[in-house]
Amino acid sequence: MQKRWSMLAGVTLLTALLAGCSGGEPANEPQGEAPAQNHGDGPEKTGSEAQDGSEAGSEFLAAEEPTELTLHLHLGNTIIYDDDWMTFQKAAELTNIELKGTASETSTNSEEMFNIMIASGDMPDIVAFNKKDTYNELGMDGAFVPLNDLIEEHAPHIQAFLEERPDVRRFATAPDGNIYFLNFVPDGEAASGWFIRQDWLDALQLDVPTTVDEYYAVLKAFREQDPNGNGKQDEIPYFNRSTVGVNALMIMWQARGNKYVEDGKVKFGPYEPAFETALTEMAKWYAEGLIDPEIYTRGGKARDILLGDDVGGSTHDWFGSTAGYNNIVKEKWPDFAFLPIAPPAGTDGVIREETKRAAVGSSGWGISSSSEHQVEAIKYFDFWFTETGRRLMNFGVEGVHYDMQDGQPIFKDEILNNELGALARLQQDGAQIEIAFHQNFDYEKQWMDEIALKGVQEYMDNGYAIDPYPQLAYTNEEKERINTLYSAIKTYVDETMQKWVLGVEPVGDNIDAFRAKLKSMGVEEMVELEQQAYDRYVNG
Amino acid sequence: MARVRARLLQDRYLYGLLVPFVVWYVLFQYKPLYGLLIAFQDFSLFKGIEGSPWVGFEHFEAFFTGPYFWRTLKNTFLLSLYQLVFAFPFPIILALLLNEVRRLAFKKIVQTLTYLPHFISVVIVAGLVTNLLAPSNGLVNILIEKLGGEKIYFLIHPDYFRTIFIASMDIWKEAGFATIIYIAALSGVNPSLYEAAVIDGANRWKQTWHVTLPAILPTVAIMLIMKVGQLLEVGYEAIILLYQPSTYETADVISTYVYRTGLQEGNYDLATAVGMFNGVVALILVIFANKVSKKLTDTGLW
Repeated sequence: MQKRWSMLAGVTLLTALLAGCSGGEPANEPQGEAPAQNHGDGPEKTGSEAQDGSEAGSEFLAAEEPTELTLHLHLGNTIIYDDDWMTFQKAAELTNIELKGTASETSTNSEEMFNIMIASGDMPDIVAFNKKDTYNELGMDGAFVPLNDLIEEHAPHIQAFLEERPDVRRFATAPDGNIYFLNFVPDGEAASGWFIRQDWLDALQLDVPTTVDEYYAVLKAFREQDPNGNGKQDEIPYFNRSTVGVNALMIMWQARGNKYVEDGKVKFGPYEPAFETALTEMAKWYAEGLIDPEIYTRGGKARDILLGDDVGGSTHDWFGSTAGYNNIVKEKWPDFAFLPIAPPAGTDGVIREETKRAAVGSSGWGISSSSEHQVEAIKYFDFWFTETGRRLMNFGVEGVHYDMQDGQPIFKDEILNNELGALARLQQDGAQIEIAFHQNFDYEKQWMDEIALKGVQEYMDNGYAIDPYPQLAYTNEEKERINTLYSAIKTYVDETMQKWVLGVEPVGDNIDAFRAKLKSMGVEEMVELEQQAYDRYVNG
Repeated sequence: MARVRARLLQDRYLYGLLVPFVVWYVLFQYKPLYGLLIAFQDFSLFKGIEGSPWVGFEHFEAFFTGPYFWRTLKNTFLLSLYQLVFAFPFPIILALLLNEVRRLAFKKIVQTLTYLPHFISVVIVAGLVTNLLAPSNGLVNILIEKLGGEKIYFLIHPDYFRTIFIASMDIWKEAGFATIIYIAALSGVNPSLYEAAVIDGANRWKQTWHVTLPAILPTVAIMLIMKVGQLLEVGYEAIILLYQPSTYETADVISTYVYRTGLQEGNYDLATAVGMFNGVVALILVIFANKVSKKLTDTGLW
C-alpha cells in the first residue's frame, strides 16, 4: 500500500507538471486520495469521489489530472498505435488521458507482438487485440481485470450501449460470466454479394437470373454462346478468388459448409442431408465447365486475371473491391459492366445471402489486472462510446478530416479523393481504428463506389443476409474437446468436398461412408458441445 | 587437476576461440530445451512455465490417438524417403558431370545457373510451379495438349504431389547449391590417382567409378547421415504452399497437420509435444544411420 501510494504520488506529480505545459486543468487541486483508495481496495468502494472529480471539468474527464496510460495496440499486422495520432490527441485533451504506445512500430506480426508482451509479464495498462478466445482465456487466468463492475460504476455510456445491444454483451462475456474485453462494433451489415456480367447478359439477350435454375442456365449460356465475342470458348462462368469460394454456391441448395443454427438447433452442414444434393449439383456444374477449373489454385489474383482478360462471368465477393473493377478494366473493355445482383433464390424459393458483416467485431481492448489506473481506463473507454467520441473515431477531427453540414459530418475532399483510399487515410490519423467503439456506416457510404453502394443498399433493404453462426464463448474443457474433434473433422470434410467437386470420386456412392466416418470422428459430440455453448449464449 | 589446469593454460588461446561457440550452444541450443517442459503442461502464456498446470502425456496421447496420426506419419516418412532416393543423388551426379567438363567458362555458367534457384524464396517457387502446371494455360499443359494429350490438373491429384514437390523444391531449387560441397570434395582428389588409373588402362567411366566415387564417399556418407537426421523435417512451408485438401492424402505431413490444428489455434503445448516427438525420432534415426555408415564406409559423425 505504502509503495503504491508513493508511486502514484510520483505519477500524479509528473502529470501535474505536464498539465502545466498543455494548459489543462489547474494543478493545485488536491488529488491522489480518491484514486489511491480505488486501486487499493478494488472497484467497489470507488464510486462517488472519482465521479465528483470528473464533473468538475469537461464532461468527458476520465482523470482529474492529465494522466499517462500505457497501451499495447498492434492490430492486423499493420496498425500500430502512434502517439501522434490526431484523434487520440484530441481524446487526450477531452479526457485528460494520454496514451503511450508500447508496441514496437517496426514489427509486422501482431500475434507475435501480443504473445511476447504477455509472456514478458510486463503488461501495459490497456491491451488491444483481436482474438476473443485468447482474451477470454487470459482473462480467466487472471491477466485482465473483469470489467463488469467497473462498467456499472464508471461507464454510463458503455452500460447504456450494452443494454441496447445485448448481442454485444453476450459476445463480450467470457464463459465465467465476466467481461474482460470490450469489442469493436461494426456497422452496416452487407459484406459480399453476387456479381454478374451485365454486358454479357445483354449480348445474349438474357435476363438477370433470379433463381438457381436461371442462374444455371445463364452460366451455361456464358459457357456455350461466346458472350465476349472473340470466337473462342474461353469464358469461365463462375469463378472466385477465395480457394474455398466454390462453397458460396452451396447455399442455393440449402446446404452449409460448417456449423449453423436452425430453429435454435446447432447443426453441422456436411452432416445434413442437403449436403449431398448440393455437392452432386456442384460436381455437375464443375464437370460442365461452369465453375472455373482452377478454382482451387487460382487464388487472390483471380479477379485481376479473369476480368482483365474479359473471360470471367460471375462471382461472389466483397461489394467495394469487386465493383471497382468496372473502372479498372474500363479502358481495355469499354462495354464491361460487372454489376451486383440479388442472390439467386435457392431450390426452396428463398433468397439467402450467407455472408454478413459481423455485428460484433473480434478486436477491441481490455485493462490488465496489474494496471494502477483501472478506473481511469474504464472512464476513458467510456469516452469512445459518447457521441463525441464516436464521431471522433468514425470521422476524425472536425476541420481536419470533415466539416459539419446540416448537422452531419461530411468528409473533406482531401480524404475522399486520397490516393491511399479514404479508410487508409483516416487510419493514418488514428480514426477507424478497431478499438471498442461503435462504427457508423455513414462514414463508408461517403466514399463507397456507386455501383457497390447500390448493391449494398439492395442487400440491406431486402434483408437477404442470414445470421452467421455466433462467436460463442466456450469453457476451457469445451474448447479443448471441440478443437480436437473439429480439426480432424475439418481436414476430412475439406478433403472429401474437394474430391467430390472435382469429380475424383462420385458423391452418391460415397455419401454413406462419409456420414459414417464423420460420426466415428465424433461429429455428434461436437454438435452437442456447440449446442451447450449456444444455449448458454442465448440464455445469457 | 593440476595437469588439466596446465593444459588449459598452455592452449588458452585455442580454448579462447572456442568460448563464443560454447556460449552460442548453451544460449541457443541448450537453454531452449527448458521450454520443452511445456509439452507436458496445459500451457498458458500468462502463467508461464512455472505457473502452468502439469498434464503429463496428455498432448502426446492426443496426437498419437488422433485420426490422422498414421497417415501424416506415413506421408512424412515417404516424402523424406523419396527425397533421399531421388533428390539426394542428384547433386552428386551433377557434380560428377561438372567435374568432367573441360571448358571452364561453360562449367562456371552451368554451376551459377543451377545454384541460383537456391536463393529464390519458396513462395515464389510455389507460384512458378502453380503457374507452370495450371490446367488452362500453364506451359506444361499447353505442351501436353499440343502433343495430343489431355490436360491434367496436376496440383489436385494426390498421385502427383510427391513428384512435383521433390522435383521443384528439392531438385530444381536445391540440387545446384548442394553440388558445391561435392565439387569441393572432388577438387581434393589427388591427380596422381587418375594418372595411375589411365596407365592401368581405365577409361573415363572406370576412372569415375574406381577413383572419383571412392574419393568422395566419406563426404557423401556424412551428408547422408545429416540428411537422415532431418528426415522428419520436411519443408512444411513449401508443402503448405503447394498442397490442397484433395491432395492431403499424400501431402499432409506431421508438421503441416500440427500447423493447421496447433499453431493456428495457438496450442503451443501440443505443437511442442509434436516437435519433441519429431526430435526423438530424428535422434534415433541419426544414431542408426551413423552405425550403418561406420560399418559400411568407416566414416561417421562420431
